[in-house]
Order: sequence, then C-alpha cells, then structure tokens
Amino acid sequence: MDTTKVFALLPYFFDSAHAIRAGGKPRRATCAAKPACLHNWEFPSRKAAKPISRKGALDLIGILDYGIGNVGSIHNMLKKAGAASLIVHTAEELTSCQKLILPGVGAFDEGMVRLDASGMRAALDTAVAQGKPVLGICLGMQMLGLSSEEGKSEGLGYIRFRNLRFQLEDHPELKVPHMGWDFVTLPDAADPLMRGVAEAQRYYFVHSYYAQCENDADALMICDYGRPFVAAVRHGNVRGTQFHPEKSHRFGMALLKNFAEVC
Amino acid sequence: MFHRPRLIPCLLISDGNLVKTRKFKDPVYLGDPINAVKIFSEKCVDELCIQDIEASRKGAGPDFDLLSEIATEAFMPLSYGGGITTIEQIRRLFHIGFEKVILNTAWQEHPDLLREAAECFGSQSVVASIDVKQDVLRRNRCMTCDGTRPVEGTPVEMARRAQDAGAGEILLNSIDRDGAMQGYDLKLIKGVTDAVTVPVIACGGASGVQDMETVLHQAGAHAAAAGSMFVFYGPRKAVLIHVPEEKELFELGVYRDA
Repeated sequence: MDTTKVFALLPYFFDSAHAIRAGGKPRRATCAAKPACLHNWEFPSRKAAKPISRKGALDLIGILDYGIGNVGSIHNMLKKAGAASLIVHTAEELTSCQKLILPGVGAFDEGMVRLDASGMRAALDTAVAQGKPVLGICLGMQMLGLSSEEGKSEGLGYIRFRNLRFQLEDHPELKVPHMGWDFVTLPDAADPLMRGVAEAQRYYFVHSYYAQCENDADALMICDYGRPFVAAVRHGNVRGTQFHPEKSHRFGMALLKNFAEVC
Repeated sequence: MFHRPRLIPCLLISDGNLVKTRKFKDPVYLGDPINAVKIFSEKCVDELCIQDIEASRKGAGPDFDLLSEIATEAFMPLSYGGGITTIEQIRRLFHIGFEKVILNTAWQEHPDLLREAAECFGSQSVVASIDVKQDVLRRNRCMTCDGTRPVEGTPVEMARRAQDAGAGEILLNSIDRDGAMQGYDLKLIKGVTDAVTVPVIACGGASGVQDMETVLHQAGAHAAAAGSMFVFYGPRKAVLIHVPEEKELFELGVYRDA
C-alpha cells in the first residue's frame, strides 16, 4: 500500500465526527493538518470500482430520458457504483445499450404519454422481448404494470400488476404520499438484484400509489405502510423498484451495482 | 419495523461558501459546501436541504455549477431553494440531480410558478417555504426575500394557500429561532400542522435530538430540519459536522415502534 492510501484511510479512524475544512477559496485547495480534512481526497473506496462482468467488458446501461425522470441522479449513482451508463433520448441510442433503466417522477398518464411521444416505446418493447434486463424506478416501475388508478392510460404490461391508491382512512397518522425512508423484507432473496443485500435495509420512498401483483411470485420486496405493499417487482428480465435506489445511499447503490454486474 | 421520521440538515450557501446565520443575519463562515455534503452523504443522513441565502436578494439565479457538483456527491434526496424564478431553472435543477425545489419569494410573488411546477413535476417535488418572524406586538408575520420583506397573511393562511396551489410539503422556518438553538417554536408549528394535510418540515431552533423528538411527536411535524445542530459541536460551538447516532434517536424517542 502506498503512502497516499495510508493517509486516505486515516479519516476512518476519526469517524465519530468530521471537521469541515476551515480554509478559504479555492474550494479544492489543500488545507490545514486535521486528518478529517482528507475528505477532500478521493478515498480508495470512493474510486469507481473496476468494471466486473462475465464477458470482461461492463454492459452499457441506458437511462431513458423522456422528459420526466430524474436521470441526473441515476447517472450520478451509477457512476459512483462503477457502472457505465448513457442517458438515451432516441430508439437508436436505446438499442445500443445492453441494459435499460426506466426512471419516472410524476403522474402515470403523463409518463405514458411522454414515453410514447419520445419514440422509444417500440424499442423498449423489443429490448424486453430480447431479454435485456430492464429496471423501472418509482413511476418507471409503476409503468411496467397494466394500469393505475391514477390515470386512464394503459401501462407497458411487462408484469401483471395494477397500481392502486393508498386508502389509509384507518390510519389518520399516515399521510399520502408515503414519503421518507422505510424498511423492506425480501420474499425472494435469491434474485441476482438481491446479491449481498441484508433484510431490513432502508430505502427512500415517495409515492401515492402502490403495486398489487396478480402473481405473488412477482413480488421481490415487501414494505409496510398502513398495509403491506409490493416495494419491488420482478418477472423474468424486467424488474422495478417503487423506492429510489439512486437516492438511498449505499443501500440503494448495492442494488444498482448488482443490476449493473449480475442481472 | 419502526417509524422513522426524516431529520434534515439545512445548509446555507452564500457566495459559494457554507455559512450559518442567526435570525437570518450575521452569516458565519463554516467551510466548503461540497466537502460538507460529502460528509453528510457518508453519514447517510435522510435528506439534505440546500438554500442560497444571497440569490433572491441579489436577484441572481441558482449557481448551477456549484449545485451540480453538490449533486454528484449526494446520494440522498436533495432539495434546493434560493433565487428560483422560472420553470426552466426548476427543470434544470431536476436534471442535474435535485429532487425538490423550495420556493419562497418566487411563490409569493408569482403563485403560478408553484402551480405550474406542481403540474409539470408532481406535488412531491415542490416545497413551499414559509419564513415567520414575530413583529413588535408578537404577532407572527410571514417574510420573503430572506426575511427582509413582510407579506400579508398569517402563517396558517399562507400554508393553506400553498397547499391549494399544489405544494407537496411546507418548510416552516422561524426566523426568531434561527441559530438560537433554544428549541422549535412549537405553537407556530402545531398551528400549521393542524391546518394542512401535506407534510410540514419544522425548522429553526433545534439544539439537539430532544428538540426534534418534541417537534415531531408533540407539534405534529412530519420532518425536523436543523442547521446549527448538525454543524456546531460542544459548548464552544466548534465547527464540526456530526449526525446523531441511531441508538441515541431510539433512546430519546425520535424513532418509535410503528
């Protein structure tokens, strides 16, 4: 181990509290002697992990940008997880990717209309039929299903579930949307997406509708908010998470890393 | 499982530096915002709220360079407020990796912006911020422009208006308590949480975990935000980022069994 690495590891021994650098501009300049200042440095663990793939080269993950997803955060997290990703806007770009992420934030009908208008819908259908791994996130997950009580549009129908609105009259203390960090249980821990994921991990949720699967075997994670609901779905090569793995710290990063490496 | 309310560090930015104010005045220089965000991300905080305290007063828009650098370091939900005046700026913020925008001055001056943002991006991504200051007769007044300009209406009326316009959350900030570290303004917060159905984030005055327990479980706040508590340490208020341990949060009753 070279000297740089030894120094960069120092902050872990001072982990109870961290000082912020007290220097002036420029922002990334070196600073006084406190070990915690080494936060300015690249930690060995923070460096993008080397791509690991069965075929030697890492699969390119396409993030569909159809106007209503938080593509930026997903791109940032994949980069941090050491995965290669591309924000795709056209059917051609989409087809060039080996894996796909369907983000989405907002209303169901708006999402479906925009996806149709983006010209990527048919290419997405083809990719799913070809067996390319697809991960829907939040509204992107809901769109993988058949329909939603939120709107009139039909969903993509890759997985047989419907999205229902939370009816929590019996729980006046619970607000809709379900917003914040919550814990999940894993009915199917054998799925590659769950590699190394422990039970009772927390993830960040924001949603007013939840998936109800026709087939229990399609439920990959279960959460509880006034009632148990499906927090992640899986059918064949298509998966979806209701929560935001890209905004769930290392817990979410583990899932995206698994998606990039072993799904 | 247990119920886990959100505890949100609020970071203030002025001229690209991280600062902390008292009563919205006298900003004290703390350090480098990006470094602070990295540390908070490392410590897995629930959410992070970034506010530029100069942007509105100066009439400048958001500092997108700084904000995109922040977004690449933050792997938790991020909200930003300060100097937002157009829907294009909001779109750009979401594109670089922010989840929520906080509207205060802009919302009071152009109520349509809030409505339009909620329609375009969903209510959950729009936070209406209400800054409250007591006048000489100890009446609560709402302020805009970083606490410099009073506006008509009580905090409760303002919160209802924000909810009707489509805000998904309300960030309720007590200017008098800002930086004082003497506890939240529970009466103000209870009044607003009782009046609206959207989640209310309480801000201003937290000195420690105990204050958060009170505001969450007695005043009905959905989330507790704080500035000083996360960046000052010990009786001498040394600048040191620290986040309460989960064990402490259980012991003091912030986290409770559902």
